[in-house]
Amino acid sequence: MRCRRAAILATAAIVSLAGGTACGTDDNSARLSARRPTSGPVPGARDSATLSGAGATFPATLVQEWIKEYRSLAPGVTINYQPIGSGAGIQQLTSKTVDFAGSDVPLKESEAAATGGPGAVAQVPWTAGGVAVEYNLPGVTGLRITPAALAGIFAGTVTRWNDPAIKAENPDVALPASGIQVVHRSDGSGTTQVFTDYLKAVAPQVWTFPSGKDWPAGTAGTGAKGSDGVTAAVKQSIGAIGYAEPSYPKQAQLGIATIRNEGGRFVGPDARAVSAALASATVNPDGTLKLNFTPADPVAYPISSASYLMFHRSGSDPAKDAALKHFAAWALADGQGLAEGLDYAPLPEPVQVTALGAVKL
Amino acid sequence: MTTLVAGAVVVVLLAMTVFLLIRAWPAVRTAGGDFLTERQWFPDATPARFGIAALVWGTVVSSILALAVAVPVAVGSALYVTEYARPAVGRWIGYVVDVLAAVPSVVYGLWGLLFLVPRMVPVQRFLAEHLGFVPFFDNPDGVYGKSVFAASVVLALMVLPIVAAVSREIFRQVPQELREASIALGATRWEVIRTSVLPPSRSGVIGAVILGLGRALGETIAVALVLAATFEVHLRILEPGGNTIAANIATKFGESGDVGRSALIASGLILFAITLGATMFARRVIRRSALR
Amino acid sequence: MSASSTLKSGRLGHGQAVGAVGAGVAVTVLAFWLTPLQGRADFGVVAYLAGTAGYLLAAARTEGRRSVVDRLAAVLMATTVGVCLLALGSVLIYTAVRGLTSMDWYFFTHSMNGVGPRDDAGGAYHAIVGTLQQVLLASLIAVPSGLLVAIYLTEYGRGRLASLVRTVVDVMVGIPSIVAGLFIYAFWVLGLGRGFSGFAAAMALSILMLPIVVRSAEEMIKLVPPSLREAAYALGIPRWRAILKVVLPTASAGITTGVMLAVARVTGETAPLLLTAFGFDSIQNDPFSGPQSSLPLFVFGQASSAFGAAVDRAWAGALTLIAVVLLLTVAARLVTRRNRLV
Repeated sequence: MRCRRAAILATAAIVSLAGGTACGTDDNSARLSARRPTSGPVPGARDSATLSGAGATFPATLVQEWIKEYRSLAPGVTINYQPIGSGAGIQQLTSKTVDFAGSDVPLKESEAAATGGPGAVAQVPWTAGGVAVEYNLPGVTGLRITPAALAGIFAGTVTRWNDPAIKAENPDVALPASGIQVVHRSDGSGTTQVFTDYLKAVAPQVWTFPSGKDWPAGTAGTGAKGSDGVTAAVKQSIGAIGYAEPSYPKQAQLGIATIRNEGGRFVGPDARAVSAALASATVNPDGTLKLNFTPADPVAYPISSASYLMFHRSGSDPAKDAALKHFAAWALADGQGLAEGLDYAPLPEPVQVTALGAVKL
Repeated sequence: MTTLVAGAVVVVLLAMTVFLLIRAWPAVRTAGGDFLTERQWFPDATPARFGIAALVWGTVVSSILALAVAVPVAVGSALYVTEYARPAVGRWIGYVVDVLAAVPSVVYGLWGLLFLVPRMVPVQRFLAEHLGFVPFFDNPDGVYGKSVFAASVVLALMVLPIVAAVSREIFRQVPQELREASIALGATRWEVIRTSVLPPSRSGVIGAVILGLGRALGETIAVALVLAATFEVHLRILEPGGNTIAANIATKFGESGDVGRSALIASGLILFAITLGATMFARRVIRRSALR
Repeated sequence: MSASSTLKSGRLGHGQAVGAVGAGVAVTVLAFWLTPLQGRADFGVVAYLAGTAGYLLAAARTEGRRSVVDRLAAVLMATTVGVCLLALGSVLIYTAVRGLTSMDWYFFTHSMNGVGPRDDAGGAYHAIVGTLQQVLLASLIAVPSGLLVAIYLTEYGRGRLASLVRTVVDVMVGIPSIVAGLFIYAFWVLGLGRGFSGFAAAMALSILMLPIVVRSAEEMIKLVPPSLREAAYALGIPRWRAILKVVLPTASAGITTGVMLAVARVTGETAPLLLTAFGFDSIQNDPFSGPQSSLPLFVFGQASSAFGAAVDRAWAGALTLIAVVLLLTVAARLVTRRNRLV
């Protein structure tokens, strides 16, 4: 009899768990702090759609913030962004399992062909940021690294923190003799592409490896998934170094290195420096940017990149298409004001204007 | 009607296998023999270079290490339950083992990552510093954390319940007369176990161990959380790094193009074949030992 | 026979044993006090070893070498049991402690909509809904078909088809969960172009559930005494009716246990869900369209990000998941105890 009662109780517990959770909500605004007073009504206010997106972890912090803000402006639109890496985002968009993708690099020729031709997918830059070099050395702030030293660290030729290549630029910093633990991305990442493109451009004799979304084989270091994974890995090991969008190391309270730019100054990835670097990028006919890793501006941060929103031009669902374009248009206009507070850079104006044209309905 | 459903299940499984084989073929054709020896994973690049050598190595090493840790504990506790403990105590230990088996692997992964790995750093350091002359335990860079060793310990927790439960059944099936004969000859309890319980159970316990191996081979999530992915084949289990077939599929499927997906499916089929072979062999061994 | 291989005539008394263990621990305390040895865990391990050494030495002096080996074996066995208990206790207690501090009513009623990794907001409602729907759908697929296959194997199956079916079920038990997910991903999500959905996840889970249901149902049906069946046939009841009205109800307790255990096992699966449900931050009440979250996916996602608030959410999710799985497992066992067949 005792067992029977216990069995009934257990079943009741499960059933009530199931029933009690029948009342849930998507509205997290009570616990989320609004960063800016919301602006007036937006064109998308009456849209009703569910948009699922995936892609780069680089813009994820800002995109999440946009989604949060936009929800109060357009309550009928549910947007989701899964930060799984640029490579995966492009793949999912190609397979049409997501409605939009985020990527830090434009489509390669082969990728564009897979999506159905060079113009089939719109590539709209919607934010920009610098690739921060994050490190875990307690007590060491403002580490200065030259491009050659940076390439050496990530190539595995510079293996100790007190290597002369690093020490030369940091004479009054006590650098330990311990080994440098390199952490790179294990997933297909646009951030990796930008970073390796940079290393290849500024230190080709040291960085002899290919550049691409996948971290090349033959170098030292371990991989972690996503910018957040890299940051978590760097945080866990003293003496580790990695690369990610600046909001991640700032959140984890890791040091961010300053990199020497073309003008000889050591610059960190703040918004002004990134904007200065992007001002010297060239805009391609399809709206994407060709990055300049050696900008002449002395305040520019050399490892800067834009991040792109990608979606199929001929969407199958007009309601989703309209909702997405309304969201993008808002992000490109009012949304840019949120960028600086989260360590991203607002887009340069000419880029912004072209981008707005691409998301017009 | 039941015949229909039963037949349908067979057809579905066959269709599944055929489908996967067809999907796996393009990758194998592209890579050729390199599929088994190459130690990188760039299937969608041109030229495509990918192979499962590092994955198979990581899978096998972590599983065997997990067994090395789990089997003594599992067999020991199974013996305790059948030979030493009172029936009530034995039943409760059985419950503990059952609960260990029920815990989802993602919880083991979370616990392993956030609780075990930081606490295992001193253990790993101790091993590297004192047993470092053995290349297995060497760690020249002195970085400790997520390593194959740590992942194996987490895997061991998942393997432990299966080996313990099956071993317990095997030991229980040993006829009481054998034990009584030893006792009559004046043996101590350990000598009874050593002479009358363990020898007839040997093949059954081996079967239990291989069942545990099958479980360890297929484990995905706990490993994906606790390993820092690298693609090398290295003996040093205390260094960060390592990767398994299952964890690789879980992390790479989203960003794989056609050849990449095909390669993942091929690696999955190989994993399935290894696991299946191990489980079938184990079951036959256990069945034979029970019939004796 | 040499004197050392026989048991000496003395017996190690209780008091002597305790005294010997105490001596070992005392030596450890002394060692840690006088030498630079440090650390609670180190002390625990060394004290344990020293106490055991003392115990064995005392046994050697009174009872002889064979006894030492016997007692050493006993200590080792007990130690392994202690390790099991320690491991389980560590996992459960640590998860409970970390999870309870971040669990509140908010956690169970809100989704992760609009919440960034560093925001201390959001909960697992969408994940719980997803898990419930996916597991329910998987059970709806796997349980009836599993029962039918089990009935076939026990009641109707003779000959080649039956042994083929049995082999196929054995093979299915061994499918790694990631491979089941990979199949549905390649076939349903991409091949048929249906995209991610809770239903795709349910299909992958049912592949994993089916063999467990078949196996346990088969065992339980076999346990029904043939006399019951024969009595039914003697009364002229057709075979299918006898199965439905006599055999199944008798085996029902055991079958329920098997089904609940299968559900418990499948609730905790993460790997196949990664490839089929994909994950979603907002509430998705329709399992047939669009990606959906689930509890294991939620825990995995939050655990991977390893940042402050995300970690707390991961622990709370993990505790919820363990609680559901354990509840199901315990309830399953209780059902069996309630209604024994034999």
